[in-house]
Amino acid sequence: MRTVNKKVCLLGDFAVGKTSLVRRFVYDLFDEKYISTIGVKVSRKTLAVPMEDGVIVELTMMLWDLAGSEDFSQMRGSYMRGASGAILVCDLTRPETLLNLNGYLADLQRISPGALVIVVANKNDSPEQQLRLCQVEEGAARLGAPCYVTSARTGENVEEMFRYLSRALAESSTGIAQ
Amino acid sequence: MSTENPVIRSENDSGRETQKRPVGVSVNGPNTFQPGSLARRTGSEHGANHRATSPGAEPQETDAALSTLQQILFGTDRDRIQVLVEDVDSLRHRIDDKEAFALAIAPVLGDAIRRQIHESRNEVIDALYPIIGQLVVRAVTEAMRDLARSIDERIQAATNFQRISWRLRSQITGVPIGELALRSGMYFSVEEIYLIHRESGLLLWHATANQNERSADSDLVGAMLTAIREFAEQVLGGGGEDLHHIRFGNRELIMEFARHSYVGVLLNGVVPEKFRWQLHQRIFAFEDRVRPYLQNYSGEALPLSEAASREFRSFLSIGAEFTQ
Repeated sequence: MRTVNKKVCLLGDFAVGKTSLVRRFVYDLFDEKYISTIGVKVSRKTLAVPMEDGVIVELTMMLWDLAGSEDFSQMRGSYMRGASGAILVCDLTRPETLLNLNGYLADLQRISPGALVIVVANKNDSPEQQLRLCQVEEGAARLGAPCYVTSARTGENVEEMFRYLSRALAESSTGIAQ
Repeated sequence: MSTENPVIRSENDSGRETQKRPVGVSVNGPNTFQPGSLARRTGSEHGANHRATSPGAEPQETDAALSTLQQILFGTDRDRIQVLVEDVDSLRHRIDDKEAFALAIAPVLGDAIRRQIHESRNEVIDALYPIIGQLVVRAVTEAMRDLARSIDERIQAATNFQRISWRLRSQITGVPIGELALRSGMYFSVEEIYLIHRESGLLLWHATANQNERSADSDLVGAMLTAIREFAEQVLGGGGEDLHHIRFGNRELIMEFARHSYVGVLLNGVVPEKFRWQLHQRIFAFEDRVRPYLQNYSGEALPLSEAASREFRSFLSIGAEFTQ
């Protein structure tokens, strides 16, 4: 078994559900005060990822949940350094949050060019959705990233999305092409 | 209003006129009436009076009427007096019980002192100065005596080589030999060491002095430390400066940086001067060993642990070395 640690950033506008996604996926000890004080909350999740060659990679994802508010826009760049992956989160009830992902991706590619990216359209449980699936898919394709439609409230696709990312990260660390 | 006592005139059994005072009114006037003596006095007087005025009435009825009158006239006062007696008893009991008394007055006393300090600070200082001043002088004198004793003991216990070393350092630096001896005796210990990838904040290696104490969140600590460092750099820095230490009470976290990694050492006590320099040297020595691996770090920390351990583990017992 190999042990690998990766830094993953969660990016997206304020209140799109980044923290809820992490909370749904991880049960951790650190509380919310980190977000309000320095603009980031770090959580950890370890998964065993079986590879095609039979080797099991124990992948620890250090999930950096970056505050989406404007107050921390300057800090965000610093926190993106050294990221191996990023989850770009938008809100299905607010179309502008999908458009704003362009900015986050541009920053990420400038600071951590090799980072794997995944687009997540959250709040699929909401009756007030204003984005259609095809719009999300088109947006994600424009960003060159796979996309998942999730609901942090119901847990829909959350585990699947993180498992996909962990597998991609594990493969990238062994040099297997995506 | 007349100052004379009102008088009821009647005749006794022998037909002789007698003077009767109303119930509850003493010869000295109503204000000097003693309730305790009421029953005795009114009983005898009333008996004579009753026989004189109402020869056919039953004595029991008269007593009941008198009792009712007593109740009407003095009932409220009697109840109040009873409450007062109980209060006085309770107070007497609390005063006699020193602990209960202290407990009762403590909050009031505290408030009173606070108020007095707030309103008349200078007067309070003037009043307390003779006492406090003496206490401070005594404490400082005692501390100085302990200090002198400690220095003397260290010098006496030192080997010849150490004494020569201190003497030389004293001559070179101008620091008195006693101060050098004292400095060498100050408490210092390394509790934990975090070796962290500078860019990502991923933990490369971690060691703790207390092997029994499991530090499960060391990778979270490493990441948060990196976040705090980045935050400080953004907010306070600007000139490429790094956050080099965080102090909390007697504990301090010292950080030294190389190109791709940095080391954070959590320690307790007074940090010796040369410790920081040693840490600086070790982090660069570590990077020299593993530079190619760190340049393209993929998140696998295991291959680094041997090099990290070689450079940093000895710091966990280095406190003793510094206190020699």
